Amino acid sequence: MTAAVFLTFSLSLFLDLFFRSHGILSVFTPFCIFYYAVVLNWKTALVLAIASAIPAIVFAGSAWPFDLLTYPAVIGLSLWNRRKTGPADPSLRRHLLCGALIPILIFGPKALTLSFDTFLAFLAWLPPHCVLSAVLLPFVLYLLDLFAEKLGLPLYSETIRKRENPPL
Amino acid sequence: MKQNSIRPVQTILLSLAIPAAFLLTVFTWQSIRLFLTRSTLDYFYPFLKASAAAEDAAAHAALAAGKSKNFLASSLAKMQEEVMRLSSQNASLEHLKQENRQLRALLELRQFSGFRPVFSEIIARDPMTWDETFLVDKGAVNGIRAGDCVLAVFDAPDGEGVVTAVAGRITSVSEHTARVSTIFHEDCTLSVFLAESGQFGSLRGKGRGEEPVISWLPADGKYGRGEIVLTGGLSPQTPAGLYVGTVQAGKDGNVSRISDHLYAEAELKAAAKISDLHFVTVLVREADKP
Repeated sequence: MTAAVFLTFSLSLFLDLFFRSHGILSVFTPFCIFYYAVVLNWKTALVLAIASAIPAIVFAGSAWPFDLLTYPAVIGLSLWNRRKTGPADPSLRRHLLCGALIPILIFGPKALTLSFDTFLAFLAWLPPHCVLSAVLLPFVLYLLDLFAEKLGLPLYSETIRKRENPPL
Repeated sequence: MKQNSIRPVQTILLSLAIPAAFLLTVFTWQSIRLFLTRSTLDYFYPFLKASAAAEDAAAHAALAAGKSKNFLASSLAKMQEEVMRLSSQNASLEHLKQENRQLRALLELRQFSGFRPVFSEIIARDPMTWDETFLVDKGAVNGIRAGDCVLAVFDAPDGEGVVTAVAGRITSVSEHTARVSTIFHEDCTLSVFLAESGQFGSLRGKGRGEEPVISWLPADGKYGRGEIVLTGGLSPQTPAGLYVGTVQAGKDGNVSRISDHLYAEAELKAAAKISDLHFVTVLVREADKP
């Protein structure tokens, strides 16, 4: 389990580093936090969020450690999604919403430090990234589940289903 | 019963510890950041290099894929493909041409007495701080130290040819990487010399996407728009006479303004255009050679 978590976080950090170095607001690491907050528990996810926020801050050279606050905030979003998802409410729509919210959650606080002109440019730049993130989140969750299934680890889809149909 | 009596104590301790940890992190953040940068960047160095290597591999694969299409040119559909291939290849070649021009100019840098140029590639940057800071693939093992001057090649302001100008300074160094704060970053300060008025000042980045400001200029000096700004060389880690940019008028239309009734300030039009930068040269003092 530890190896799988380490591998997925390493890969997601690598992808974030690669895409962000090309100007794309990628949020693969927050996707992993979103996934593990449901599959594991919020305390483990919090440790993972803080551990992955540190390299993110160091790579970006951020003046302030916003990621130490925003990465754990993804756990809240994930748990909210899990709580709200029920048998009568199709979860895909809510996952799309969560996917769209994640870039705002991660990059929004940082954008407050920008000048007004740059902030306006950022606002214009954000919607395509939100759409991309909304589409990518379910896909990444599916891929992580496929990987977990191969290793016989707990699955996100099963954990959510348990919530949808709680055992009597 | 015992557990019930412990629970409120734990809650109080937690509610005190969390804000205390938060405040401690905020107040000591600059030291923590320096420590984290030094300790984690070396650990992640192969990771960082892999990202740059993946980019190179993808670019080479794209070019190789293009070359294999040379044999497809017999029908109209194939000719259309050929046109598309050539167009994309031309775009790649334009990019390579620009990169080649930058590299040639960097190699032809004039020698600064007592300084050795260390050629570096940018390996990581963040969209939110794109023009303000980036990470390069050379570090302490190459002799780089915090405070070293970073040069790069940019398109000339008149659009013809290229110009070598100051891009920023090194703010932190690990064994194999170094963090550059560009002249637009708040952490970057530089002594500068205004060539026509003959005055020295201090250049400081303002961050937030704004042009840097030259402060501590004599209040009675006459400063002209377009005046050339060079490095002052007051720091032992920066040679004098490196091109930085020109003086430009501020938002109020004035070239300079008096600050605190003591000194004049002027706005810099930086020669550095950081957004398309891929390579830089760090000027390392010969005395610091590893």
